[in-house]
Amino acid sequence: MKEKEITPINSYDHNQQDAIDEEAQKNLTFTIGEEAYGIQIHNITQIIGIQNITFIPNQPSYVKGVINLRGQIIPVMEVRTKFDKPVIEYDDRTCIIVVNKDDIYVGLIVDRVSEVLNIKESEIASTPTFNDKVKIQYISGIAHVNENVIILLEIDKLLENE
Amino acid sequence: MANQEKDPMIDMYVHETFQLIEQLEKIIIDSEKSKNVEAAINEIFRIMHTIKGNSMMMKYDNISELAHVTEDLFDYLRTKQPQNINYSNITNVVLDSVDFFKDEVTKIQNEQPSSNKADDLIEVIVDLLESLKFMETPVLEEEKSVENQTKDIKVPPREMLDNFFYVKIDFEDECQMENIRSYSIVHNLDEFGCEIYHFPKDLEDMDEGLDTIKTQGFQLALNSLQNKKELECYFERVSFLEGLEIKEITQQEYESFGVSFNKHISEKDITDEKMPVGNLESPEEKASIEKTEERLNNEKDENTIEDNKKAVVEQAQVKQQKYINVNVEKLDMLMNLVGELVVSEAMVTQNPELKKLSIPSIEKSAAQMRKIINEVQDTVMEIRMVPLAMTFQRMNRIVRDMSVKTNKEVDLVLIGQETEVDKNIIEHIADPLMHLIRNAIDHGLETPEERKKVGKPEKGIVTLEAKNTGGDVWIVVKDDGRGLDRDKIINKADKQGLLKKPIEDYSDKEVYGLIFEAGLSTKEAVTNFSGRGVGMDAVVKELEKIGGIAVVESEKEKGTSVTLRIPLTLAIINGMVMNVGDNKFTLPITTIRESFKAKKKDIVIDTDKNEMILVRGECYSVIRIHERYGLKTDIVDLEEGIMVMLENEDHKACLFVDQLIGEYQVVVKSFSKYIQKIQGISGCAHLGDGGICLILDPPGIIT
Repeated sequence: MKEKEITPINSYDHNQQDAIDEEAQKNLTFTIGEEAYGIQIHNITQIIGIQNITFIPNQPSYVKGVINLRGQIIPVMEVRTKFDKPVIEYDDRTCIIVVNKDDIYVGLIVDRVSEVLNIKESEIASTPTFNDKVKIQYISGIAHVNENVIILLEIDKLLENE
Repeated sequence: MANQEKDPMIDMYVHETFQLIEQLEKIIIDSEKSKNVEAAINEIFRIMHTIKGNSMMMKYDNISELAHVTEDLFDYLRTKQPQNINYSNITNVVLDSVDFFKDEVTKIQNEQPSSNKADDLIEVIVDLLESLKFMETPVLEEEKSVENQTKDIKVPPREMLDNFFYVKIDFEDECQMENIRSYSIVHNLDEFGCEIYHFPKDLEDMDEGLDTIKTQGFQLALNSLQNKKELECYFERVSFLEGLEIKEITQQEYESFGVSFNKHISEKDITDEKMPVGNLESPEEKASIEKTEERLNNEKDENTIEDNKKAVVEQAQVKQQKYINVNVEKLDMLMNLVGELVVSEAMVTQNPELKKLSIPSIEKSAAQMRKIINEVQDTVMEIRMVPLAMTFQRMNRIVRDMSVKTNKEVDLVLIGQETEVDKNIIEHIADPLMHLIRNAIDHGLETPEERKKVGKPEKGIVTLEAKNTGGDVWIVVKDDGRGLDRDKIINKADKQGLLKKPIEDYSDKEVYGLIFEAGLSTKEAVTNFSGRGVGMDAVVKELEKIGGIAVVESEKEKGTSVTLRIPLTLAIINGMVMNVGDNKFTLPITTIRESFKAKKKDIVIDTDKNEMILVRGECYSVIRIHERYGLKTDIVDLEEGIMVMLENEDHKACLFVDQLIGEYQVVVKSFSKYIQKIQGISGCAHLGDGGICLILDPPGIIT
């Protein structure tokens, strides 16, 4: 990851460089409350609407239980709770993003799924030290795309149990 | 070449080598037991040779080098038949090599880089061979072995080779790696000192060689010292052999084969059985064509007239193709699919809308379908069943090693090897069995002197027995040693603070059960094999993974027996589904004694506020599932809900749940690693409506 040589606003200037095929990664962005987050797309298996969740006792508060995804039983965790944000009701925009990390499938419950974005390395700034609501350890970087700020999450860290 | 078709080739290699290694281990241990190593020399030589050949072909040099020197050693033993040899040295060396092979092949299987070379071991073997030679004939004409390492083959002088043969080999359709097998045949014959022409000539060329062998068989023309009988003997031992044809030929014919085989290489297009018949001038080609025609005619005969022969041949073929190797993953997948099928069958037939209609014809068809699905399920389960024999046989090695190192004479008696259990279970019982057998020999059995004193035969007996009892398989490890020492165990446990009640309150059975606690070993000194106090609790932990338990029985001076009770299969259980609030739970039906409504007058609350219930004069503790797992439910009054009495071992307890839903066959799924372990819940299962229920684990709940 590059150093913070690029200030947030000038990200648009890089359009002309697109042809040079700068090292870009595809990220799926989603929101929790007002904040936008991104995870690398190659970790993602699929995105589904909210489902019946079977409660599993004696788990950390953010592990909500398991869902039955065409015969496969997949644990789901609420990213909101993981980041210590207030609980809200699920609605029809609530989604489960199923990710696969080393053959362990986990569903991430998020408020809304936004889009798939190409994020170039030059648009990523390394982890800052503000925003105490989200634990810094899950963050791999902050991206500035089209004047939006997207917090890039590290899947491995996100799935680690505390 | 190993890179091109990596998977199938390596898989085959690994599979075959493992089989050979296992065979080898068994042979060497059996032969040592019967004190007749001489008889096994040939067999060991052959296996080493095959391993070497295969490994060379696959370019696993470290394996082939070691196999090569071991082969040299046995070649020497085989040909010179020296007298008065200390075979235990040789056995040790072979077993060491076996261990090395195992390690290496496992690495290959896991696609790990093979790092170590077997140089030390090779040196030991070479030294051993040298010393043997020295003992036998101090002045040997050639320093054979050292040079052999660089692998040069000494071909006897030509005039001695006066038998000429034509050999055609057909491999079974399914055997794969035909070219490698052919290569190893040629290689073996080389060492016999044969002069060989073979077709196809280029065995390393994957496509050409393989196809030709597949379609036309592997043809050899050889010039050999051996007579026909010996050759037949040799070829019959080649694995996956389907057809074999050996003919004595004259020297001219032999030469002509040499030419024609070489010719084939230059005319690669001719791969079909039918070779061009027209304009043949050279006698060589003629000879070869005649041969081919003859063969074709033979085949024709077989096909049309010789029905008798044909029947025999066919029978043989049927017999040979009875077994196929299947990837376990595929079986797992099939198993999962059948599980899904069972569930979706329930989903359809139990559909409330459909039930309301009550159409007899549909019910009839549904019953028929259920019957078939049940049969499919049973068959799939059966496929996954594997006899315990392999696992049991492996224990011979442990017993042998232990008896050598502890200086105790031990006989291992195996009973019920044919008992079958699920493939997944087998993988989990090998280690526990190993621990138990080591323990039995190290702790259980006395030294020969001690045994003599108490009037027992000097040779100790360890029995390994497997039997089927309904839904469980019992595996018993029994020794006829000194038995467990109650006082010693209980004192030790007391010192470690493992006791939970006064010493007097412990029954013998409970005391013996203590040996499964972590950190308890009554052996004063720690040996290499046991005494650290980690073994027995490891046994229990491993068993827990497959839902098994261990029970110890012991009698002073008579011996100890440990019984492992293991479920036959893990995949599908008959369960009682019940609910607590919105949550559904399943209990294996075999663990439920009864279920009933509680009456107020039967409920007892002790001073610690523990609830208990009286049933026919007996008192059982009540476990409220909703409290245990912090679940929301409206039914908290013991009289409102339902009591389910469950039994595990000697313990009984009553579970309090909201209501029973019914008995279902459920497909057990384990939790993802992401879910943290929950005491009392062993997994989850799909329900007919697509929902998920949690499977309660009786031992976990009661404790």
